[in-house]
Amino acid sequence: MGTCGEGKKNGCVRMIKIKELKKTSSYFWMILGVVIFIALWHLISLRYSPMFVPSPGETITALIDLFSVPESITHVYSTFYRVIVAMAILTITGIALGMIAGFNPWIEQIIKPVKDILIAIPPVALSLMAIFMFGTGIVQTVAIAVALGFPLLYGATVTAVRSVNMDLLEMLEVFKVKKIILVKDAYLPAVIFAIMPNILLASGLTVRLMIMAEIIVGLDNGIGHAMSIARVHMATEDIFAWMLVMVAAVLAIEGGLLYLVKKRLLAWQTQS
Amino acid sequence: MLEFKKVTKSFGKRTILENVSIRLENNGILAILGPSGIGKTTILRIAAGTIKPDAGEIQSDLRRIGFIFQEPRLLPWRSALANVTLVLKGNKMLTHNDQIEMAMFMLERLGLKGFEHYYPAQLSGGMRQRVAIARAFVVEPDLLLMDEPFTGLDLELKASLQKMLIQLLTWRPTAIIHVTHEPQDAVLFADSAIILAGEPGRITAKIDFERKRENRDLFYVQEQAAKLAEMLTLKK
Repeated sequence: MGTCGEGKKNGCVRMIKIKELKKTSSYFWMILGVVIFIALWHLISLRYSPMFVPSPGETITALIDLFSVPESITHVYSTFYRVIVAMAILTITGIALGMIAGFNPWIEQIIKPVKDILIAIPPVALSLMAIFMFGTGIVQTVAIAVALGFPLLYGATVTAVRSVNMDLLEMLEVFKVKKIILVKDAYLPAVIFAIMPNILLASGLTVRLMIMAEIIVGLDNGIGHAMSIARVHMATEDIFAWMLVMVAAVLAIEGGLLYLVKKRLLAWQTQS
Repeated sequence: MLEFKKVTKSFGKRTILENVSIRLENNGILAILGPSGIGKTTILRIAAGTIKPDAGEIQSDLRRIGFIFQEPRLLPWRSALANVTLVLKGNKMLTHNDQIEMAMFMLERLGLKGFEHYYPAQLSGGMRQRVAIARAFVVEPDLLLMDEPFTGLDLELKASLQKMLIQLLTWRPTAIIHVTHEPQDAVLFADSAIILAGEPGRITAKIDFERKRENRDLFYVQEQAAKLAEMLTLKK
């Protein structure tokens, strides 16, 4: 549609064609990047024993073998489920607390020590500390992933709240728009737009942290558990296959999230 | 009626306005001219109630305020219709359907029928400014504040927006403070004009346009604009 409102059809058609061309060329470079990566991986695998670096072919075979067993689907489902729960908690708490702290610097100061600790402590150390303090279990695993991802979304939200366009805020003040509408119609969309890259980053991070937490906590299902078993059996090709699953999971979650956000929340931007 | 009595306003150590007195009757239109940074927009902000004067007194019985800024200041993530209904949301007297109806009516009056679900980025600059005008009028303002709303527009667009605004004012008269750099714009709308000059800004000249707006022909507009331009040059 673009700014085709008042008789600029030819210009619009040209713009759409240019956009499509750019999209096609970006797909080309992306595919080329994947091909180069696989080629390099193959070359490296030729130098080392399959025990250390299995080839792409061996990994794909291991992947097919893995998914011929229904148990593997359960592992993927368990991890996915936990990641989605963790992401939902992370996003809601990160944005809500970030907005409250963005409006009230004193609350930001209260939260600061916790945020700094979560940033400074290595994820593995925090996971071990959580196990010692709260024991093992699914709740603890999800909580670890939430705690580790929280500073990212919280910090971005605080910054975003303070960067909302002052001209828009002045306009809303002049028209005496109620505070609740101000938050819902001005702050929230502006914040979501600003922290979108961080949400995507957090989704990838949550997958990684969740699998790490599953390994450390020692759950009896999930990708982390499956990788632990593969490690015990020295099945390197299985570990590589699970890593491929991880990549696919990150891409699927990021892609799904991006689609949802673009379709629902950022439609105003994608249609411009 | 809106009255500023000896209003003074400073930002930090710098005094922007000093002893500014203005009286605006209901449905009266006042133009304010003067160089950049003299405090014209500060007067609008004080009139809108977003900032308070340091000294002096403001008396006003004009409760509903509309504002047209130099830029449209639309929420980019809301459609044209939602941008207009936004300013009605706090009004408990209106149902959701009333709000939509009123906003649609204003958009239609401004020639935006069919574009109500477009986002600002999909509209041209002139259309965006028309949405901003619709937003200002939909609150049925007792006082309309205009901060150089035609600056930066090309001549054709400016003329068409001015014509629309004059039609709207004939349909629904309201008190207006119109800040502008252009003497001709001032004569087109206002009953009187004041010139701000000096450091800090003070009212240094005032002119009343004798002819009613509907009786002003091009010759009269140009003659009065030339007079204003001369006064502006002298007061610099």
